[in-house]
Amino acid sequence: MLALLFVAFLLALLIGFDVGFSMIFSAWLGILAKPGELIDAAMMPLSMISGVDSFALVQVPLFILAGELMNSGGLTMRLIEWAMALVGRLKGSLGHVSIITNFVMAGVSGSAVADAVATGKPLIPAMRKEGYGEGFAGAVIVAGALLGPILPPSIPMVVYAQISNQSVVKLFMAGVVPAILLAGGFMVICSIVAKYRKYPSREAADLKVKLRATGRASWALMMPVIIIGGIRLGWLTVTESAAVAVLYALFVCLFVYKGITFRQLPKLIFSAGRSTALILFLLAAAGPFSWLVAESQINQTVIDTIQHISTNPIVVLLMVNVFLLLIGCIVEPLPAMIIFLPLLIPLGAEVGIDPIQFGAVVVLNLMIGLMHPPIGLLLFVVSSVGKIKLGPVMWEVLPFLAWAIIVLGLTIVFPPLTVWLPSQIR
Amino acid sequence: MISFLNRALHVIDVLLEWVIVLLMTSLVVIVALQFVDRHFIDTGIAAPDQYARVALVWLTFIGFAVAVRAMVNIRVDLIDAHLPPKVRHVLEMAFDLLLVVLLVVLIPGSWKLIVIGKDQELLGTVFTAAVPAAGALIAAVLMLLFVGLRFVVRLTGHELARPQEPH
Repeated sequence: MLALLFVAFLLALLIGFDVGFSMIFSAWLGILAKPGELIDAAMMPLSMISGVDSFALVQVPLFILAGELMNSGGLTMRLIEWAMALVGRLKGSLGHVSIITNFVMAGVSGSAVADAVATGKPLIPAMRKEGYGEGFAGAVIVAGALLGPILPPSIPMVVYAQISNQSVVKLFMAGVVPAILLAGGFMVICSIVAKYRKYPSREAADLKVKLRATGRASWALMMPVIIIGGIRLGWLTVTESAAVAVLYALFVCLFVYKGITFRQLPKLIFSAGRSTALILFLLAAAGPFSWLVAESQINQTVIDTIQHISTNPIVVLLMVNVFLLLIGCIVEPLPAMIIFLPLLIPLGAEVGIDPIQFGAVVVLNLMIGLMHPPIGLLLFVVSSVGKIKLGPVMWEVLPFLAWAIIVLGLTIVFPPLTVWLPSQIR
Repeated sequence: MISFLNRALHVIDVLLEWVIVLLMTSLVVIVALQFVDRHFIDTGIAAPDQYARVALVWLTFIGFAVAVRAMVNIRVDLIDAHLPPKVRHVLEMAFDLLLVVLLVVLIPGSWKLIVIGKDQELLGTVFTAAVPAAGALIAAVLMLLFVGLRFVVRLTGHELARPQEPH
């Protein structure tokens, strides 16, 4: 019976009912169907409040706000100028600029969509003007933006930490090496495509120009240093680092870059607040839903089924990843995390997979869902922002997608890629 | 009638926008004060983390009510994007009706939490456990108002104006 309710949930989800309320709906049906004494009416709202009543989650709105301020406050153009000074002489330089700019911006915002909008707006028209194909122009922005939620600060990592009760700092660190691998591979792909299609390069910038561009971008470049450095030196907790990031972003955007005014602030703060609520409500709705999962013992069935096939951690991780890649075709990454992690985390623990490696692999996998057809959100975002057709972007993103899947495979097979850096943190 | 409803809803939209701004600002201030308290001067706030948690619960629920009003809540539009407009319209009506049912289920539970929590102090704060529950209740009532009105107005063949987007 409870398994049928799980099916009802999936059906509600697929026909387009609100994701959070699909979870609440199935939990409610589960309560009604449960034989015996009726469950107290307060149980559902209580478990929803408990799902978000956590100080660790306070960093979510703060990091979102810091990113929103920096993206609106003139950070992007400074970073693009800086990246152009560094790699402008390479063939297909604007592709490399996109990857490098996104890599640095990832250390500020943690949101792939925000990064894709911020870099796509100026860079896609610039690439089109220099003769890049529209598909490639969009695909390279998609690839760059993918780095946002993998490098710290990362909202999906915070959500994973909350669900799995793991250290968010260790999870942040677990994403660093895979992100470097991704960025390196994406730049190699840019070089190959640029050479093959004869995309232009710029004149090499002299040291003076490079230093001037670095100086202009230094306020933005300092942000990740403050966040990570502050945490590592023990001055800041992760949540405090998020508040410091907001205050720093406010100072830089209002008084240094002067990209935003005091009048614009309420709208930006409101936008960040609403985005936060969309994410956190999923966690709230997951409260009663987790009860349904526990009651239906679906997680035990999943564990038994997979262990019946293999108990080898690598094989199990591979199976989990194939499952998540398929799920990523129909469900957005964050809802997918919140729905399926309560099933998958016990499985990882059962076969002895390091929870930090498991978290990094799951986040990387689900973020890849942002770039793969048919519902890769980033594909739609760049198509809309750059006013380019979706079809060519879907086609041109394939080499980047292939590399992302290779990196995912590497993180599965070589655990040190994700656990070595976190292990350096005491 | 519709224009009166739209004007009334606009007032609520503006009010809620400022509530969200206030909650976000309070989160920044509380966490920043915690940092100041740890390193520099005693701010005299016994449990800043408790205050931040209450603000976060309110932000989550009130913010989601705002998202429901603007119809930007998260959905999987894999199938309905390919449906004919008439079928999509019927589905949207059915979703709103289901939402109303679920909210009617949630509201008494939230009220009960307030009644139970009103005598339970949140340690280190001036609040009781009823305060976070009140956030959930107010959000549920707001959503019921927004979705219920939308449903009724759609039955008459009209649409309510959506709130202005922040960007």
